[in-house]
Amino acid sequence: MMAKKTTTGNSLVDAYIRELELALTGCDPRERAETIVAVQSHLDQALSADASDGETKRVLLELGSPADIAGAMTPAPQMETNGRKPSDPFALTALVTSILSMVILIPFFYFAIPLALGTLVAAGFHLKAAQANKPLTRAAIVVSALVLAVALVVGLTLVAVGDPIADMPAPAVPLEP
Amino acid sequence: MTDNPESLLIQLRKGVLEYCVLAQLCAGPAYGLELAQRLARHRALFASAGTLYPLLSRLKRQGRVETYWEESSSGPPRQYYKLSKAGHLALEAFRSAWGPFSKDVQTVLEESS
Repeated sequence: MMAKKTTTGNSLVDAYIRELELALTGCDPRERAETIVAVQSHLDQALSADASDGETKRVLLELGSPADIAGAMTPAPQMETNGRKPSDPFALTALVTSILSMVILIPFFYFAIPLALGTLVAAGFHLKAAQANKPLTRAAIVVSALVLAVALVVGLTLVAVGDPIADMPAPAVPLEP
Repeated sequence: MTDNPESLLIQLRKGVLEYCVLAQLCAGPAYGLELAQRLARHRALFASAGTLYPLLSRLKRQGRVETYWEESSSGPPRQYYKLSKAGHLALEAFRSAWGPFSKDVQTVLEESS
């Protein structure tokens, strides 16, 4: 019966596999495990258990360097597995800040305006970033723009209404005594 | 961006190579070393045998390729790769896109030369 001999114990092969394992860290975990098994299997098939160093080196050269193999792997594993939902703390913060500016618009009018303006500008720049969560960032832009629009209307109304009110008692004062 | 032939080939292989692997499996299942030896004949496509395995791993994760182990009479068990139904469909889609694509590239290059 034929023994199921493998290259395990061949120091050149072992070193190559170790280097490959290292080169593939950060790749998609399932593809990584699969690739290492497949490369090990390739070497088991291509080399006899008692292959010489020269023969081993030739087969490893044909296979290419671990870095070359790593170059052909799926580069961004989280992006690939999570699809379009990588967490984007910046966009989330922007959305929370824009909502906060809306909440404090009435009680803290003068704090809400710079907060909404800052959020609008920051989210606007962030939208151009490749890893940005676009819907979340757009939501932050819409909310902060809305807050600014409301603030503008309220501000203009106060100016328009405030002046006559301030002026009104003025003539009443000298008339009274 | 450098324009030396090797870096050009790296760019060109992207998006094409995995379909060439699917095409190789179209005729029937094959184990890794067998597939690597077959593809090694096409040097412009495969610079080194090792790059085949990341492709096969990706194709398996995408469900386009299935694997199974089989005993070998002459050594350790072999992992065979087999085209799945999704793999067949993907290859068909590629075939119908590649025909007009390569024809257009050829025509454009000939017109400008």
